[in-house]
Amino acid sequence: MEVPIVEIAIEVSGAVKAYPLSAGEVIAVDHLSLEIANGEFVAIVGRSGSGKTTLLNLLAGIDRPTSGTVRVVGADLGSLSESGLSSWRGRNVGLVFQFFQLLPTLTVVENVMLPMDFARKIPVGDRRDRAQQLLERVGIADQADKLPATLSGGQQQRAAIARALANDPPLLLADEPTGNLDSVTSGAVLELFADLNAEGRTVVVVTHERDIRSIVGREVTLTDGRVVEDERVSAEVSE
Amino acid sequence: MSNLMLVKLRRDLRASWSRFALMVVAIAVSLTVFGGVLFAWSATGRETSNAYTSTEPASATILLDRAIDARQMSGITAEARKRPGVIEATGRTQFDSDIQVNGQSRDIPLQVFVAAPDDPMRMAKFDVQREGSWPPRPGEIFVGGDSLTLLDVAVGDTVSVETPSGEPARLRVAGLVYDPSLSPAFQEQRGHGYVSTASLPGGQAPLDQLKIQVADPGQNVPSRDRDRIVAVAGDAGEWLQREYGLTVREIQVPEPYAHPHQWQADALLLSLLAGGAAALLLGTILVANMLNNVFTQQIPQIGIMKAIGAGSGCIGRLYLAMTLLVAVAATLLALAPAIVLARGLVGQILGMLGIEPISLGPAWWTYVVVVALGLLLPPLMALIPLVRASRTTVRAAIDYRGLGSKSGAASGVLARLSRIRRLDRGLLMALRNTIRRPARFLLSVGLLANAGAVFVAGMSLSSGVEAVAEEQKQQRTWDVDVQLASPAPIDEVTTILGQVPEISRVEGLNVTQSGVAGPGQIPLTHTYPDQGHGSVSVTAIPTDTTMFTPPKQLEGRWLKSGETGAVVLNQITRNNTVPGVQAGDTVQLIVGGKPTSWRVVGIVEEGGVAGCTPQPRVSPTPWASRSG
Repeated sequence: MEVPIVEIAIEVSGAVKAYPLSAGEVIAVDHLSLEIANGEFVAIVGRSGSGKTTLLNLLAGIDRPTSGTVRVVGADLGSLSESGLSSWRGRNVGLVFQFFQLLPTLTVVENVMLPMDFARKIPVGDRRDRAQQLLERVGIADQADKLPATLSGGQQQRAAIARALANDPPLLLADEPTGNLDSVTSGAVLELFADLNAEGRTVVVVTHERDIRSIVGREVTLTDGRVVEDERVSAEVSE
Repeated sequence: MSNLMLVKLRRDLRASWSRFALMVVAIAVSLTVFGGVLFAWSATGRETSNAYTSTEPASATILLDRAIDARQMSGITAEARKRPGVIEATGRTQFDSDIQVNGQSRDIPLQVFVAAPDDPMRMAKFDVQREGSWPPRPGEIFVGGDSLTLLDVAVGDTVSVETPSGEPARLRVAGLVYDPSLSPAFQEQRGHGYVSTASLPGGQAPLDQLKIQVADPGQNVPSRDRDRIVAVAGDAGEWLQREYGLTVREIQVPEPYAHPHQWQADALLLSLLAGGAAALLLGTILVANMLNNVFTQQIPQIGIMKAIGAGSGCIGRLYLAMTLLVAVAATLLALAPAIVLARGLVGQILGMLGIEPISLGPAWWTYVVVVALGLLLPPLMALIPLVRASRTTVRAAIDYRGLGSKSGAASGVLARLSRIRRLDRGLLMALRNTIRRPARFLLSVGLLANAGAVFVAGMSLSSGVEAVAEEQKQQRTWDVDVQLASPAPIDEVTTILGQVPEISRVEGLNVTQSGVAGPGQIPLTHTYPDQGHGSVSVTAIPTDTTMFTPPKQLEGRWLKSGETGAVVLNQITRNNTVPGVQAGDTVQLIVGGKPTSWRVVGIVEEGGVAGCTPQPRVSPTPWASRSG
């Protein structure tokens, strides 16, 4: 795995994200500042509408802040174009969504190989083997040649995690990765994230899971788009 | 594009195969129609042009007032070839005659073309196709191949014709001729015969036509410039008058390189081509609409791909490839039926023109046009939705709920409508659904509008043609036309015909060949060798006519009773003979061999034969005074 030189993986400074609505402007993220070091496993928690997902979208370059700066893995996301953001995401960020988000007409292994095709970091000849290894790692190697629709929810989420790891990104961002899974499967998925963090990857998870404190190193609580609590729950920043 | 994107493309196509198949069929059908007509147009134009020019038609025919000895004509043609601009010359004559076949009279007349036996047939030539070659032996005649059925005659039969000298001639049909310079016999209801002067009584019939081919300066091929031909032929006409004391009755300069019925084929094919183009546009809008729906359905997937590193270019290439695949499949599917359709059309149209095609294949450039249209039109029409889809951001994909991103004016109207309590909620929902995606709505409206336009245009064309036929029917208030061989007093004719039972009314018109005044005040016309197409005739309408209905007035007014020096032109005369002339202008017409000035008081629209043959109308009084 490539470990970036920067000490700070994520640096959010005075970020504001406002959405204009017909009823008036809604502030989803309100002058939020946050730093996350390399190798941290951070959970972002809060009630619905507290701005968790908006913050994650700002970190992923899906949204741009109305004001303030967002630097992630050494890049000032505000200075990148849409295409530049796509390319940056493909090389540096693994994204996992609540609803699996696999392409329905590609098989599981092809879904995992797709980011490699976009980023071109992995040699063409190695892509299938790597995708197969990643699927083995997440425990669904036997499902590699099936279409996503034939897999269970947990299997699809594992496939999405394998896809997020395709280009060996230093940062994993997950938005409610267990929100659609039963408790047993949720636990297994979170364990997987913990393992990935243990390898030195920075992991940021937006979640409602109450048990998250047992596996993350830091818990950031948002209310009305502001950080109201930033608690280190254990001292396991990976070196 | 990566292999995985190709895999995705293939599976997406397979997943929605019925929709893509419909797209392919929509474009293929419309492209077949358009391509078929375009192919037919090119092949028809080429074959007609080649066939017509293969006869080396005369650029101009100088019609003498009286026929001269063939030997004198031979000397004149030799001198004419030395004149500037003239590259070929020959002497000919022709006449129309009633015909008997093996002693049995026929209702159809025969137009006989006459050349000297030693005519080298380097111009105004024809192809003797069976049993013999030019010239026919004395006592023999060749007959146009398309005249056999019309005249009910066969090779070996004996035909009797009346020659210009008034003497009858019995001639044996010795061969068949293919003459693509003439309109088909069945269309003109007149047979064609070809003899040498040796076959006519006396063995040396006189000739009254000097046919010349005119070239541009420094060139040795016939000119395409009618003005140049008119100038050279006019000089030659004056030269004949000056040097040989001959009176030139008319100079006939048909449209260079154009078959007499070329415009009919062009008009038919152009209208079909317009229909084909409209169908193609219709099909393409339909496909653009369907592709827009496909792209819209793929927005969530586009969001996923963007989230994992795909750029807009990569997405754009995927959907461009999808569009191109549809276009390629449709184009390949359309080519063969288009060629078949074209061959059928070419056969029909060339048959109508009396042309025997050498090849039915279209010109190479038409393939390029059809393939280019087939491949480029769909991506072009789908360009905006394609670019919009490829630029979809992850945020837009996440937010996508199948609704338009912006509420337009229509949404505002619907919002106001929704406040009306009694308004049916179902109707409101249907209206909202209709306009919730403006691009789709506009494409659908465009599609329906285009389809409506094509339908209305087709119906209008159909009703227009029927209206013209109906108008002609209403204008024609008589049952029988009788054309006398020479003018006769109308009172005398009326008295004679009044004794025939069942004839309730007789009215006489005076129709005389005419032309506009050309160089040296010689009448100039567009007349073709059949002496029908392109000719100009003047009709004198009786003051007290009750049978003649004035045609539709386009400009000015109709003739007034007893008016002198006034003429009404039909639209064909105005367009072809005196272009640009308007009511109030003065035109110079040669009537009865004399140049006379006429005040144009109106322009009328005529259909049918009158509409094809320029026929100015004058009232009888000025006619009498002018023609003297």
